[in-house]
Amino acid sequence: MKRLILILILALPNMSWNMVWQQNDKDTHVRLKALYVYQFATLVDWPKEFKQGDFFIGVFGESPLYNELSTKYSNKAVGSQSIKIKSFNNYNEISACHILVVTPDNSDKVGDLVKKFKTKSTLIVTEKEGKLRDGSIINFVIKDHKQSYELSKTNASKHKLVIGSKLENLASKVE
Amino acid sequence: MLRFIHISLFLLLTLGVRAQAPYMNKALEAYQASEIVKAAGYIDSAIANPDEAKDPFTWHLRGFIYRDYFRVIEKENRNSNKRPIAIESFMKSNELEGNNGENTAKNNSNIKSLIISYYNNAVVLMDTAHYHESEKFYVEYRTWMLRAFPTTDLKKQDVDYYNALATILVKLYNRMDNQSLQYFDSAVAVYKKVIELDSNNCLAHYQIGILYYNRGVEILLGLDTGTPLEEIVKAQDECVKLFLISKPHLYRAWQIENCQSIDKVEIATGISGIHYQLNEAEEHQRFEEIKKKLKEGKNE
Repeated sequence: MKRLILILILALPNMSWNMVWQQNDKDTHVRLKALYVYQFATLVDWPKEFKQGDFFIGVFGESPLYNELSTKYSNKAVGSQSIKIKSFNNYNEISACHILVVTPDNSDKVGDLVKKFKTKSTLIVTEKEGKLRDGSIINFVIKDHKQSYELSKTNASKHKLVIGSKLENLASKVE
Repeated sequence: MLRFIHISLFLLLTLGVRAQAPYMNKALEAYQASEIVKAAGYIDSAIANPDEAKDPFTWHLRGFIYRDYFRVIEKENRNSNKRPIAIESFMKSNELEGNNGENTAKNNSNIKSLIISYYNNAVVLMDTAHYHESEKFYVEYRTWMLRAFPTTDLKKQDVDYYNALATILVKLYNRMDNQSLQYFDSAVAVYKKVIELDSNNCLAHYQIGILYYNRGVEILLGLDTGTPLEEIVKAQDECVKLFLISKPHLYRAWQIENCQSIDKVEIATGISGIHYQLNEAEEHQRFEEIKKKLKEGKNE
């Protein structure tokens, strides 16, 4: 039996267990949120006056979502509008956007943002439970282990935004 | 190579020539003259002669002749049909002799070494190009082993072998070509076979967990920027199913004590990852802490 053991020992080092562990730089949560944001852009209808020029997507607060959007979506378009990604760290510097994603750390500012962009048809997207009540239009939620979203048609209509039926049908909750 | 023949001759010269065994005597003479092919012809005639076929020594000699045919003439060609003939002959010699006959020890030692040569073939062939052939030789090995030595416990060897085989299939799966999924299924099936043999095999549990985890992550990372909304939802449904299959296997690996094949940090990383993917933030955080402590403990 000695020969058998010897050969086994010689052969097995070539058989490393070889598992590929996914690195943190490929964050699936961020990837999914960016995919959703782009779909929001294509499945919501903005008033005519906002369908010209560039299409601005802003991220308020520090989030890897900004990098993901900048890297993968900056060269894309919504209709004939080129997508531009903006990052805001202070409330005061936030300029008008078609979509404004508010990070959980800044979600206490949602009420103020709703007032600030009342006439600008900004689709405010939040990532914290209960934020539809504060005026957010789409809120990211986790449902059945999955990244999902809930939406408020009432809040959308206040900003003259029309939610597409596909977006509505696939939402986890519609108010 | 000559060494085999010298050893064999030394063993056989002590036994002498049998009366009433013309073919066997000729075979012995040819074998002593290192004329192995000729010896094989005579010894086959000997076993066809009913009187000579009754003699355990005829079969014992046939075992040596065919063993050397395999080793010397055919240079241990793994597909040689001489090797099974040699094993069969030694076994027949044992059968005719009964227990503890004058040739039993030598028969057994040769049987064992010839059977082990199948195992060695299986190990040498264990790579991405020849794993099918490897498995064929492993099956040969265990079939012969259990036939010749029915009380042998092959569980540990089976576990080691099938873990190694699954690793090869994982390598093929990780190539991420068109046939990847076929290898994924095969690897999982082989790891499950290992778990059937040894339910406490933490390596197999860990590997199944990671395979399902990685497959889910690959699906999510593979989504194109323009993926339609319904496809995003569908992909997540599929991934959650995969992650939920992964989770209990990773936990099982975590719970198994004295797991020597996988570092605890790796298992904790896996569990932390699966909780992350399943959006179970608290448990993800808990295992991040555990991982951190394990790493600190290692560095101290």
